[in-house]
Amino acid sequence: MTAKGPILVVDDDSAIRATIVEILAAEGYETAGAANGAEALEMIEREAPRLVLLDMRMPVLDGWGLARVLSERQLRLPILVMTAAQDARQWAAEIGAVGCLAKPFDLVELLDAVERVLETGCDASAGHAAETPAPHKGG
Amino acid sequence: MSAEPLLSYLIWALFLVLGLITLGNAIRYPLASNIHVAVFFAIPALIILIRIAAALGLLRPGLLTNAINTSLLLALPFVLLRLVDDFVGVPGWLVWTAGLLIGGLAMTAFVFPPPRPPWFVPLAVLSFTGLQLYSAVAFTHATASTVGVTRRRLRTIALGSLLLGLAVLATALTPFAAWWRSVSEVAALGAGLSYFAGFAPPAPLRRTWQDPELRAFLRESASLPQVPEEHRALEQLERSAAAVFGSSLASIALWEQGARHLRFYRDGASYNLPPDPGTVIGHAFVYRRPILGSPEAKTIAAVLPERAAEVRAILAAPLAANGQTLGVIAIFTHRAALFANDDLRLADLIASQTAAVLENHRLLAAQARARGREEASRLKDDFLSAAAHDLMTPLTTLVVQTQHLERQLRRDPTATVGLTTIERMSGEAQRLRELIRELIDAANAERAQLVGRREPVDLAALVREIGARYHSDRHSCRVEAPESLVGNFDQQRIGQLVRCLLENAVRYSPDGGPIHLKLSQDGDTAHLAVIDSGIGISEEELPQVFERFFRGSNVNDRYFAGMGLSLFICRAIAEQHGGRMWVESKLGSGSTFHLLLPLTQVSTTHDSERPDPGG
Repeated sequence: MTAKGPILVVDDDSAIRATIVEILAAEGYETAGAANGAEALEMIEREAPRLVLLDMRMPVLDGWGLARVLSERQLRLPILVMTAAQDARQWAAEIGAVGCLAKPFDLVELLDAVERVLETGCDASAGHAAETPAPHKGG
Repeated sequence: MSAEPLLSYLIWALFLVLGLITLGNAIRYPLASNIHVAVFFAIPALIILIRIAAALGLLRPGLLTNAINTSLLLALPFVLLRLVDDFVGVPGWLVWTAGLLIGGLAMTAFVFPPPRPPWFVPLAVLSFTGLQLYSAVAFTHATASTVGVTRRRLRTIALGSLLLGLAVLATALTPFAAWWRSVSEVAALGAGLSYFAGFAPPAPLRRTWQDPELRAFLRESASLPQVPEEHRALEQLERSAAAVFGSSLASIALWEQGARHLRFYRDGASYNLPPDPGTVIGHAFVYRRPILGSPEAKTIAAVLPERAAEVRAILAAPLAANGQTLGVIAIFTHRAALFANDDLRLADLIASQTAAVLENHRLLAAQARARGREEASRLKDDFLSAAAHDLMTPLTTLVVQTQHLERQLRRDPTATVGLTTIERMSGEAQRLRELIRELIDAANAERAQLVGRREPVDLAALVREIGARYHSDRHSCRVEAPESLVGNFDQQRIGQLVRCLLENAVRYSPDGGPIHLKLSQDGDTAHLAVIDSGIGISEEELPQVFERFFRGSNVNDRYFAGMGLSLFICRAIAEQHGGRMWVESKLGSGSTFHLLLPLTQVSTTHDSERPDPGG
């Protein structure tokens, strides 16, 4: 991963968006939030995020729509799908995401997945509950 | 041989043939009407036979043959009267009077050889023409109230009466010009043929006459499986089946396996009939054979009590399909003479077609029910998955946030927790509670169990109070309401409804803007309009606004949008109060939600407890 930009959290639910943005910030990551695919696209083009946490069902431009535009514009960047739907893994595969987080996920799952993607570029254990305690990272 | 006697012989031969055919028919099917027809045609045949015998020298014309000829001629209109009775009905007293009169005249003909008493000829001519005229009028009159083959038969008979009248007139005119005799003979022949075609139509003619109605029946039955309610499809089948037989009444009885009886439906009511093989309908059902007979009193009482006087004959055929007997079709008529024996085959055809329609109808209905069950199950699945989905998001926020706090406090027990964080957690917990309430309300709305005990509520006061709570700098909330507007409501639910409409107005006016609550009374109905100037609803989405899980596509933050059940619940509250809701809106220029509530007590399923009127 060459991108050094922020982690972009895309969710139309303002509470979860703010929470994840704050937590990731507290863990030492640079973060940004977007309420839908269109806002996200704008930020991706402007800030070149290193990772996108993407909810799928959103107004204006949904997760699929965003992924399509990204691939059309040849903007390749890792996406972690966050969804409460049962088809989380299938959806992640559909849009070529590196992994998925099924709501309701744990903090540890979130942090592990983020860390793994940033280190290796993919999330091998996405979707499974992490057994090990979360790695400590900054204050 | 000249043309004139040749014509006479031809006519004689034809009348003899008609006499033989009708006699044969009467012997094969000894029904009263068949016998009457045979007697009717036997009269001219006998007169002709007497003439032939005289011509051949076998019989010497004398007083006896004269008396016989006269009596036979006099009997002709009386037999015709009996036929009128068979086909359209004649008052009993008229039959008796005519019988006595004709009998008296015939006896006179035998007792007094010519010259007969001076009153004999006028009285004979009067009774002959009177009865003939009566028959002609009766048949013509009856055509108006009949249909199909019956109408065609009665018209032909009426034509026969007309021709017979012409024949009599032409005979009377013979002294003036000889050719009237030929006219008379041709008219008599026409009358004979018309009477024959009308009274005893041969099978091919009968089928030709039944053809238009049969075609209509088949055409209609092809489209009937699509008629949603079975009883309506049956009613149409009954009507068109009756028309095929020229009857005004047919009834389809369906076998009810559980109750073990045949059930008729008529005008919204139903009548049961046990499958007794001693009855015409029971016989057709039990022995699976079409049958023609007279209805028993108990059948009439069970099926057609109000038409007892009209019904004299039943043609019943079993509705058989795939080895099962689904029921019986019964065609009723006021005169047995209107049915012919070969109608049994036609009845069988009609019954098979009816059974096929019924079977198709049932298969389609079963298919529709299965589809309905699938749809219901799919809706339930959708509901559950949508509900789970909506609960997961706030739950994730709560879980992740709590775990994050825990982690922070473990690392540093003196760490402080920001108020924003606590507020967000509390907010999410409340949101979860609201979502779960919404779910429970929606489930109750489905079961029509939302509205509880009703009591007199002042709607004006309620709207003013709630409106005041939503008034802010961002959203001015203006209430326009009468002094007081009291109706019987579930106060809590109506309050919930009004709050929900106001919350929507606030939520979908993200840039602020006035909200107007307008309450008015229209007769015994309260009308509340909640008017905002917010983002509005697109025309395509308007019809779905009150559907479950609907959320406008122009709504940006799901946090505020709830589950999309609130308007569904609102409408259920309104409807369970006997009221209704609708919305007018234009994208970008706001929405107006209308609520109509009846002020008078409207009974609903959950309104068994009457509120204290003094309350």
